[in-house]
Amino acid sequence: MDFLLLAAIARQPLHGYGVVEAIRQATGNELDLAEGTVYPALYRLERAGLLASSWKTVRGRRRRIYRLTRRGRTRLERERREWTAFAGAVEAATA
Amino acid sequence: MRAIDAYLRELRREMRFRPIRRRRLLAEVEGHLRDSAEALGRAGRAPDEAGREAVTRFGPPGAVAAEAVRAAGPAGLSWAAGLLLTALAVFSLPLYAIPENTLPAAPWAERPGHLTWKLHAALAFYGVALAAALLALTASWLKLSRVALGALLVSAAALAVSAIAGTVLAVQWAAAVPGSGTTLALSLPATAVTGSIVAVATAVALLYGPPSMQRAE
Repeated sequence: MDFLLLAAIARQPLHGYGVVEAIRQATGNELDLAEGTVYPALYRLERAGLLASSWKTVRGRRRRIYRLTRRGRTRLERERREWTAFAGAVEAATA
Repeated sequence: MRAIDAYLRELRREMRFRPIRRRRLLAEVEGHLRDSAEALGRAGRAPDEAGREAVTRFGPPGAVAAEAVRAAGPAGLSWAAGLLLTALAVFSLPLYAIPENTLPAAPWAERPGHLTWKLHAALAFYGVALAAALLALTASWLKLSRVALGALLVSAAALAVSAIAGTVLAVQWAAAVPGSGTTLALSLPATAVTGSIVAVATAVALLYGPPSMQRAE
């Protein structure tokens, strides 16, 4: 979940609903997150210093926009490397 | 959109004893649900049906509130540090301000040893509590949750020791110096208030501290 959220926000700063939509669209509706779990996860990532957020008015509605910090970008790169290695290992084992 | 309004009321109720991040969570969830319902409306759902589906997709308000509170660690630690600093400010009344302004002149040339060491202990532990509370506040702002929690617990313990030493000192001083009753009568309630705030601050720190240190549900 954290990996997915960081990757979505790395493309562009997003609010919570935008994150859910971005993941849904990027995966062709394959990954449909339990929406209520997104906000606690965003708070946790912000608390860990991986995300930063600020209020912004978008289409007349006040939004909390999340963006990746430098620490978040470093973590995302590490998670990507680990995921690629893991997926490669599973693929090799099941080919 | 009655379903969304009802959901937000329920979420607000769930968060009533968990004020940390309540306003922010409610604002974010409301925006999310209305966006979601609008998107479902564009996909052909009737407004009421869209609202109900948006709420269902979001999940039960109790679970959302519990998760959000658990994720709000540093805010909780900042609150606890603020509470402890308030307790320290309140305790400066019985420790210094009240005795300084109400105590009658002492009948001795040199203060008895059994009062002196308690006074020094109360002041020393007060100093430790103040330094630890300031460290906790700084650490919580820097998102160093474990450091903040450790400093908070040290501060609460040091202030409790200071309050106990101060209370014993006040009672013994009143017994040794005629006319000290007013000081004692004013000091004990202020010390009791300090103790209550320390207890609340400790509970907040433990309940809203780093997730790994919270009880599993």
